[in-house]
Amino acid sequence: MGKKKFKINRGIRTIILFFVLWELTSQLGLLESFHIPSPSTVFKTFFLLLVEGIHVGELGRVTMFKMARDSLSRVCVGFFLALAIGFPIGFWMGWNKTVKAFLENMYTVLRPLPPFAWVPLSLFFLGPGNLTSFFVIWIGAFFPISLNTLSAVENVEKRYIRAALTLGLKRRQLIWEVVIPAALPGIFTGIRIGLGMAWGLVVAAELVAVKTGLGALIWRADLVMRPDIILAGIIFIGMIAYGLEQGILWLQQNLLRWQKGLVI
Amino acid sequence: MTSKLIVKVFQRWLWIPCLLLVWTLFAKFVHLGTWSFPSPWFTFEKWWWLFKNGTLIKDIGSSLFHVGYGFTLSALIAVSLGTLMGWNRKMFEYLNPFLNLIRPTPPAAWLPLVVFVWGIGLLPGILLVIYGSFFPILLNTINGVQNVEKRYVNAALTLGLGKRRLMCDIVLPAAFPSILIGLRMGFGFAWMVLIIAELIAVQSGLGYMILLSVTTLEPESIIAGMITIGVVGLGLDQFFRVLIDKYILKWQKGIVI
Repeated sequence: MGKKKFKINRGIRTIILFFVLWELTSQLGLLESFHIPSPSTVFKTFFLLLVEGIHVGELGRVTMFKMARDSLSRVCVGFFLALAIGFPIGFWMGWNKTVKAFLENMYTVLRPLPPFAWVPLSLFFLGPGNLTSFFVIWIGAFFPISLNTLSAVENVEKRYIRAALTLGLKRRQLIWEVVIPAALPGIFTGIRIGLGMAWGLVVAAELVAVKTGLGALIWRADLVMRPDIILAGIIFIGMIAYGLEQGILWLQQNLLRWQKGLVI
Repeated sequence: MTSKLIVKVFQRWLWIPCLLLVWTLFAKFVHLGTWSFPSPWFTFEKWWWLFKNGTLIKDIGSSLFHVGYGFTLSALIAVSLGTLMGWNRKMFEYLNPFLNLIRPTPPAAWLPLVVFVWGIGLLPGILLVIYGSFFPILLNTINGVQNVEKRYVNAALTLGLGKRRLMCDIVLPAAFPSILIGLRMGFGFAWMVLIIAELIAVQSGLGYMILLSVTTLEPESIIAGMITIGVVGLGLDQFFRVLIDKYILKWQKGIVI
């Protein structure tokens, strides 16, 4: 216990050292040529953005929460579409070899393409705005979700399935009570990766294609020459990314608590 | 029996004509906005024209330069830092929380800052590639070095190896497969992030080319560019895969067994 405490302290020392050095160098004016503000300015801006809101160019007066809400609602739409389509397809492919044979090649063709490369095409046909961001998030989250579901379903222990069949389970029961629970850890991995992807993509899409959201906030801050807002935005984006990841992990641990007992 | 045969034939090569057929039909009947979707034939014609023209080659060269430059730097930094952190417990404890603080931030979020400081041009692309590929390589290297079989290390120490020989002859080779996997993952991210950077802050390369095709209203060039991006990315990924297969499957088998 005491040892663990010591470990954390070491890490915190580095972090404190980093911020002190940053503050000192900017107080001494060494960072001026890079236009990087001091951490104290950034934190002041951060709290101002959080509480009161700041006027940022054409966005008008914005608060962090409003921008985050815009970004998160986009992620919600795109991500749940990806889940609603990716999960059944992945499941079906894992369940049925023929389906896999037919769809597999679609994956080999489409997957190597970075998701963000779809943006120009989508800009051309769907125009700038929410649709493009939904589409890109969907593409980005679809592949991790469906591929992880596919491999999770494929790798369900055959023993479980045989035992269930021997015990006379019907097909539907087999799917809901054996295959899906057994595949859940893999599915969760796909969800976690997909959600991380979705969050990164919504920020990127907001830089080019959408006019609200955290990505748009930091891009507009760039245009009105406010690096402190950019850094505050980056910090908030990072915090949300961390929160999303931890949230999924927490959900996984709570939903799959029974699994620990099963496996050991 | 016949249905199995059909599936097999489809899987082997029939899917290509099927895909083209679907695409052609899609182009024929689906109209998005005022523009119709370009047909595959038109797209390939355009691709060939761009290829012969030399513009495509130039764009590929520019993208490869960026990704190669950034990825090499990132690999050098990440592998050496990762080896250090995997090797030295104190170093790991000092640096890990700090790196974890930065890690969750998506690469695209750094783009406005990088553009603000260095302006639009070469540097944002390279810096973003470094950031995008850094963490997968670092984490896999740390993991690889930390999980070197203690038996090997003990045996080497018993046989009287010095610290440097231990590092070069035992630890790094043992961690190499994991490092290679990290490099492959890192490269995937590097390519992905480069496209984001080129679409926003770099004025050259394949990403920029497809963005430009939006303004010149040439959807067929957009798709031709996307195909090129996919093919180049796939080719480079295969390169890493072959490298990994060669090392892990051939070389490692000899040692482990």
